[in-house]
This record gives sequence, C-alpha cells and structure tokens, in this order.
Amino acid sequence: MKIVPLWSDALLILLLALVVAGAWWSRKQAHLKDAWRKVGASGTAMAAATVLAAFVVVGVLDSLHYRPALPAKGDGPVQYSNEVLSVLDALLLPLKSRSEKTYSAPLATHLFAKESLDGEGRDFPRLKHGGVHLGQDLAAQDGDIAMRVLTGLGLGVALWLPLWFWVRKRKIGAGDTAMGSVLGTAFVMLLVAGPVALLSAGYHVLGTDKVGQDVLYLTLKSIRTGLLIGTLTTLIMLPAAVLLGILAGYVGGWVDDLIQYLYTVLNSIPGVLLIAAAVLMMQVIIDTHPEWFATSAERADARLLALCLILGVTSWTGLARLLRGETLKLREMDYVQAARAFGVGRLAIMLRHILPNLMHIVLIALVMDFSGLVLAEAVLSYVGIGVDPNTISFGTMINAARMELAREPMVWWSLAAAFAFMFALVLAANLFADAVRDAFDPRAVK
Amino acid sequence: MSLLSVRDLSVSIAAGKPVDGVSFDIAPGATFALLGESGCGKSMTALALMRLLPETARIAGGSVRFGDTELTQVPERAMRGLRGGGMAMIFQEPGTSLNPVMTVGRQIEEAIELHGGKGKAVELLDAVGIPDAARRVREYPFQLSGGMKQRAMIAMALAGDPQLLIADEPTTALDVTIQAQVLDVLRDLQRERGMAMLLISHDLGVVARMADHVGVMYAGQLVEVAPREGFFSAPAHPYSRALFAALPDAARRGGELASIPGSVPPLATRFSGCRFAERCAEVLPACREAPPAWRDLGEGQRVRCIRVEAEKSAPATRRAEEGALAAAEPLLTVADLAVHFPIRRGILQRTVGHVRAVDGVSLDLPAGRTLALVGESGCGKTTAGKALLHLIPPTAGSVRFAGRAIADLAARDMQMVFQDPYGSLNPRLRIGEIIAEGMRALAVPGDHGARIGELLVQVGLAAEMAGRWPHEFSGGQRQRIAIARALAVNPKLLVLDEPTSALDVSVQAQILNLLRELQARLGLAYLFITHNIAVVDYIAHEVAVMYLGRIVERGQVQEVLRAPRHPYTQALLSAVPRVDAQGQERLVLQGDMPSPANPPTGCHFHPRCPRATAECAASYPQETRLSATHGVRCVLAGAA
Repeated sequence: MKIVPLWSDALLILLLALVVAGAWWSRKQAHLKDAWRKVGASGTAMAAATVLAAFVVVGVLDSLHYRPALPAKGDGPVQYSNEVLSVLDALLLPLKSRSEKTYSAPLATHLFAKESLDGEGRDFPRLKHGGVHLGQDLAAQDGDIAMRVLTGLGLGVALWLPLWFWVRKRKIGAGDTAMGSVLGTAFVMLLVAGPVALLSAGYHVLGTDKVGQDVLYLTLKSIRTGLLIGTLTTLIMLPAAVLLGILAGYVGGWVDDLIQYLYTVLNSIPGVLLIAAAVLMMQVIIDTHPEWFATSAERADARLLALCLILGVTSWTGLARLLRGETLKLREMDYVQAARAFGVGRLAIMLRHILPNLMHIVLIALVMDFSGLVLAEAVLSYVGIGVDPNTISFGTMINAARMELAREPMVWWSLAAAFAFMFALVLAANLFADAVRDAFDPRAVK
Repeated sequence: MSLLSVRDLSVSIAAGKPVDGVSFDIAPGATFALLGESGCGKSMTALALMRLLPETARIAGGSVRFGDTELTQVPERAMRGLRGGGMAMIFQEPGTSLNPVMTVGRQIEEAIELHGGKGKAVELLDAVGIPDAARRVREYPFQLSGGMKQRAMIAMALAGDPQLLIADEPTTALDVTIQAQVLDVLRDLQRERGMAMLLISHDLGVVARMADHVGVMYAGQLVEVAPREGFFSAPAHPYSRALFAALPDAARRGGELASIPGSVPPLATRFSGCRFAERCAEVLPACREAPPAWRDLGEGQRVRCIRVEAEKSAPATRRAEEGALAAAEPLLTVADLAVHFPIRRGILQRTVGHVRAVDGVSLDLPAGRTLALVGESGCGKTTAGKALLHLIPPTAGSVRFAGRAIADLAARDMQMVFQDPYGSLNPRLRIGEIIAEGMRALAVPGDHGARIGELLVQVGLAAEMAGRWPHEFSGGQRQRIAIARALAVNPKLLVLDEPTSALDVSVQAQILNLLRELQARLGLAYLFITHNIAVVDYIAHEVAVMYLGRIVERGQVQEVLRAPRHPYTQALLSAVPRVDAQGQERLVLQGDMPSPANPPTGCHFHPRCPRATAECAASYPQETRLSATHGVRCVLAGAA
C-alpha cells in the first residue's frame, strides 16, 4: 500500500487543523466563547451541526487516499495499482465492486430494461449481485427486506444507546448546550443508517446507474467533492477578500480606487462565462501535460482545485465589498483615532483594531457561502464546466441522470438520491449559518 | 378633573420591571415633567401610555384613564384612533422620525387625513414657526435642519388636534439655541390650544422652564412629585437633591461636585427596601428594610423617603476660592489653524469649493490651565481639536507645543479623550491591552504592567480590572479607562472632546471631579471642547467661543460668561435653560447655522444677529481687544 497525498486532501486536512486551532484559540476569547455558547444553545444549530459532522466524517474518510499493492509477481519490486482508492472506498468495497450491467431500481432483483435472454425471448434479466442471496425464491424478498429493516433499526438503537449513556454520564455540554437535539438527530440518523447498511449488503438500496454502479456509493463519494468545493473555495478567496477589503477601506485614496475598479470589472463579467473560459483553459493545460500526473485521480484532483481557485477568484468581490464598507465605518471609530494619536502604525491598526472587529462578518460569510458553493458546483458540473467527468459529484450525477428523466418508465433514483443528499447538506449548512449569524452579528436583536 | 390619570402602572420585561407602580395626574392644559437619568423607566412609561411598548414588554398592571377611557382596556382598533387624535407623541431623534422619501407636507397631510383634523399642512408648519412654510411643505426631510425637522414632527403631532402631547426628550438632540426655539414653540402652542403635555427629560433646566408639575423617577418608581416652585426651591428626596448638587456651575468652581456613587441599578434587580438606598448619602438602616411609603409635605409635594422632615433644605452650595491667575508661558500656541475639506464634483472629481470647517483659529493655552472651546454642533470645534493633534491634517496655520513647531502626529505630549465612551474602546481588547497600546507604540520606558495598575487606580478603578473586557463596564467607567489610556504616555495636554456629554448628570459629576483632581495633581493642560456652558463655567479658566469655523470671542471665563460682548455669545448664554432663571430676558436666535461650505459674506453671524448693521455684511470684523485677555470679533464691540 502506498499513500497518495492529493493536494486537495492536504488542503482539507489543513483546513480542519485550522478549524480545530481556531476553536482552541476562541476558548480563551470571552466574546467568541459567548457567541459560540449561543450557537450551542440553539437546538436547530446543534441538530444541523450533527448532520454536518456526519457529512464531514464521510468526506474526511474519502480524503485519505492510497494505491493498493498489486499481488506480487515473483521477486520483483512491489507494483502498485494505477487506481487510487480512499479509506471510504475500502470500507464500501462491496458497494463499489458489485456493479451491475446497467440501470436497476432501488432494492430490485432484476435489471430495469428487458434484454434478449439466451433462447428464452426478452425478459428482465436477474441482477448479478442485487438480491442474489435469495436464489430462486423471489417471493421471500419482501420478508427478507422487512427482516433487514427491523434488524437495522435494532442495530441503530443499539449503537445509539451507548452514545446516550456516554453523554449522560460524562455530562458533556453541561450547561445550556442543546445536547438533546444532538442526541435526537443522531438517533434519527442511526435509525436510517442501520437498515440502509444491512439492506445494502444484499441489495442496491438506491438502485444502480447507467453503467451499473451503485447509486448509494456514488452519493457517498459526492459528499467529498461538495465539501471541498464549499470550503476550499472560501479558503482561497478569504485572504484576498480580507486583505483587499481592509486595504481599500482603511488606506483609501488610489488604493481604494484600484481595488474598487478591480472588483467592479470582475463583477460585470457574467460569472458563468468567466468560469467556463477559465475551466476550459485549465483543461487544455492539464491535457497538454499528461506527464505531471501519475494517475487519473491526480489529474481529476488538479481540475477540482482549479475549479475551487476559479470560483474563489470570482467570488471574493462580495465579501471584499462588505469588508470595505465596514472598515470605512470602523476607521472613524474613536478607538482607531486614539490609536492614531499614539502614533500606532497603519499595519498595526489594521491588525489590532480593524481585523478583529471584522471577524464576525468573515465567519458569517464563510458559513453562508458554503451552501451557495455546493449548489454552484452542481450547476457548473451539470453544464459541463465543473469537475472532471471522472470525479463523482452531485453535479455529474445529475448530469448523467438528466436524459433518463425523459424515459418511460422514468429512472428517478439517481436524481432523487443526489437531490436528497445535497438537500440535507445545504439545509444543514444554512441552518447552522443562520444560527452563527444570529450569535455573531452585533446588530442582531439580543 | 384630570385629563390623564395614571394609577399604579407597571410594565414588565422578562424578569425585570422597568416601570413599577407609577401614579400621576395631568390636568388639561398643564405640563407634567418626568425627570430622571437614563434607565429609570421614563420613556417606557410614555410608551406604555400610548400602548406602543416593544414586543418583549407588556403592561403588568395598573390603570391609565384618559378622559373617560380606560386605555389599558380598549381594543387596539380604538387605540389607533386615540394615538395622534387624543394623545400625540414626539420623539428624541427628529432625523429618524420622518420618512426620508416623502415630502414634509405630504407626511403632515397624511396625519390630518387620518384624524379628520382641520387645517392644512402649511398652516401647521406656520404654527410651529417654520419660516417660509409654503415652500417648506414641498421639501423633503433632508432639506430641513434638525430643529426644523423637530418642528415638523410637532406639526405632525398637532395634526390630530390632540389634548395631550407626550414629548420624549424633544430637544436633547438639538443645539441650545435651537432648543430654545423649539421649547418656545411648544410653550406657545400649549398656551394657544390648551393642550396638556407630558414632558420627559433628564435636563433640570428644560424642566424648570416648561413644567407645572415635576415627577422624579428612579429605577422604575416615582420618588418625588411636586409643583415646579416647590421642587426647585426645595427638592425633598435625596436623589432629587443629589441631581441638583451634581449640576456643575460657577458657584461650585474649584470645589468638588457632589456625585452620586455607582449607577442606576440594572433592570432585573430585586429591591427589598428603598431603591435609592445603595447610592444614598443619608441612608439609614431602616431604608433597606421596607420600601418607603409616600409622605405628604404639603403644597402638593409628595416624596417617597422616610427621612425628609429634617432635610428639607435648598441644595447646598460651596464656593471655593479661585486660584491666582498664572501668567505662564503658553504651552500650546495655535496660529491661524485652518482645515478645509474639498468638495469634489463631476466625473473628474474636480474641486469646486471647500467646506471651511476650521477657518483661521488662534489659541494660547498655558500649562496646567483649562481652555474651553465652546460652540454648537457643526461649528468646527471637534475638527479643530483633531487638527491640533494632526489626526486631521490642517490645511494651513501652525501649532507650536512648548516652543516646538508640530508638523506630524504629536504623539506623546498631546492626547485626546473622545465623546462616546462606547466607541472609544476596542471591544476586542482587554482593558490592560487598551491602556498599554500607547506605551508600547511610543516605547515608554518602565514596567508597563505595574504602570497600568497605577493608572487604573489613579482614575478611580481597581488595578485588577486590567484583565477585563470593555463591555463589562458602564459608560462612566469606560470614560475613566479612556482617560487612563491617554495618561499612560504622560502627556502634558489633553484634548477633551465632549467627554461628559454622553453621560448622565451624576456620572458627569464624577468625571468632572476626576478631571479637576488630575489637573491639580499632574499639572495637565486641558483643551475642553464642549457645548455645555454649565460645565465650562465649572471647570474652565479660559473660554473661546466658536461660530462657523472661527473664534468670535475669547477671554477669561468671568469675562466671557459674565460680560459677553459678542451677540452670538450673548444668545448662546441666554438660550441655556437654567434651573434658577425664571423670567429672565432671553435672546432667541432665528434660523439655523449656515453651511460652512458657503458662509455668509462679512461677519458670519450677521444673518442671524439681532443687532446687525449694513457694515456687518461688508467684511469680517477684526478682533477688538477689550482687555489683555478678552477679545471679540464684532464691529459693535469696537464702537461701544
């Protein structure tokens, strides 16, 4: 096994480290601690955070990549597979490997379309993997499914109870943290996860797509792409937005003019056009330099990062404008005047007096932008200028499923699965963002 | 028969009671004033009468009878007819009370239509004394000055021909000369229309001028109710007396102001005895045991205090001896200081004119003395103060400090204390870091940690407060911290920009005492920028009066305040509502201060001057020296 650190993996880990460090640091900052306590006290926010945490766990598992060693041939050096796998792939190996020929409905035992069978005319052929354990006893399918659902529910409860005891006993979140809603959300998620896990051992819970891949596997793999686009883009645009926003607001004069012209120009170019042009250019560069990439996963990763970069370049303007306006207000505050009266330098004033008083806006923008970017990725991939076609994402799933909506009977599960997961992710992010804004915005009604 | 009769009115917000058992009556045509510091529940009482309480608050009990109607019982529909029709309200901030996208006339007409009132918008505007009303009805709020907006608000309130006008701090946001105009308008209207008025104010002077009856509020309760004469000749409650004693004026010069320790208790406080007991100088053990009952002192004066018999006396006055005039070398010399802001127009941003915010100001300030720079808002006094420190680059003129010309940020020797104690401390820094900032930036030698503790003690706080955050402190304490920050770099001169105008009168007294004490101990010179004449009278040695970017009169405090020679100074002084000045002759100015972008020709003051002659419009008058220290820029002074 050879560990393959993709660039996006490294950045995601870095981001997580930053979040952890930020959390550690904010424990010592009274105002931040107060605001986070407010977020913690909100039931909705904590439920949303639990859902987000589940998504993040899936995303992180999917970000630990490696190349498995090939079976040794003689005494030669160990050869590694060309395929890059992640920890999530390893965990979901049964799902990944059991692909069918083409479409099959959720929990089906037969393919979705009739085919010519050897000498028996046209019929729905049996699936190679879905429901194969039933043998010829197809009548037992309903009973089998019911059995698995019930066992799964039991498993969910069994997993939840220790968690409940642990929280109760250790008195985690003593005080006003809404642990009740965390436990409640965890309960619901485990109740869903248990049956799904057991069912997926024997069936394709969410059906299969055109080339027979399990849709559940695809949706789980899409989570990482969504998370990466949502977070890395903000990470890329944040320094530019903060730096330029504060400079424009505090220094003023020609610097302000220049930065304003820059973002007015960027804003007046239609966003999709700019992104399309940039993505296609990147694609040409990637295609003309195959020697840069050892595996196709690395190539797809480069394109994903390029997309983050491009989205970042086109989306810093809004935040920069917001920060500029706020800086214009802050620089007239008496405490900035007082610092100037002491002869404190410009840079020190920006760092000590302006930046800390802007952090709530930055944080709010960060969480608010996340859901918008996840949706933007879906739209861009649908149009064909998003991630690499080999990268599994909500957008590519929707793109692949769009033609099948016109079929009769309709192939709905691909789209429905992508929609449901994306909806859960974006809704959780939005609810969490709302709570964060309420807690951090000083203008909000207390 | 009273028009409005309030009995045991209580308002509750969550656990707290901002209004707790308030009872008073207002007779038709009379004025009742609610007096008290901020946070005492005055505005909440008014909003409860109008049933306009914020969502979180509700009337918890009591009755409000307006004529024959019980206001706490009527449905919201009927209440809407009463608001504006029976009783109307005007608010503190005229700027935000008018809709900026509708003409003034339209807004008044709307109120007329709503209540089926008589009269036209023009007549109403005329009635509130807006000149050229026919033109003004077609204008938008932004075209009116603050005083005119407040008068337009009054006109709107009159549209429904109300029997009761509730005025919530109607002149607090206005300058004294404008305040005088608005108060006169209110008084005349009241007389003409036989309208009753509930006046809410923290200003004893305004109350003395307007009220028939006074109710003093403290922590949600009325503590004293009295007719005006009785109240102002002999306030009975210790709180009322403390309010009088905390007022700065010439009589208390050099002495210490009686300040009330602490501040108004927070909303959720539970009281067992007298609410004022914690801050009362004359507290008895019995005060903390049971809430005091009302006691009748005769002539309509009632007080909620158990020990009033003996203490019913006029507020004590102390006169201290004035120190000898120090004829020292000036520490600060300012010559012809000017700050002009360019007005840019068009695509190329060409300069088409200048706002002459400060236009040739010259000052001298000896060490250890206080020079008060007095003027109304917009006269350029704050800009002048900031230009001294080069916080705003001056356009022309020179600033010399202790003989040296200052061409850049005068970091160490001059420091500034700002008006708003909430905006002047960075909320993201601890108190210690805030105070240390200047020492660090200027590399002041010594142990900064120890010095911070020392400074905190010096301004009346505790050394261990260095680790706390600004939001844990009240307005007065924050102002002390701001003073400590300025003192940290051992300056010789402090520019104090309205340091007490955002504070309540009792807290103002604490800060003024502190400033006086620091000056005596450290030999600091103060440039005290203010619009409050009473504070000037108390603390300043010299006064410079500013009007539209220029100093019109300057001199020793006795010379300028006792024998003012410039008509503007005279008008400014007579416009100040005084506690003890009943029936004094007043000089009410017409109109507003012109724009500094386009000042009048000749003497800037001549369009508003009651004694202007043709000569005044010709050229700006030279300074006439009346004594070694007293100078006036007015042609009349030279002639007299």
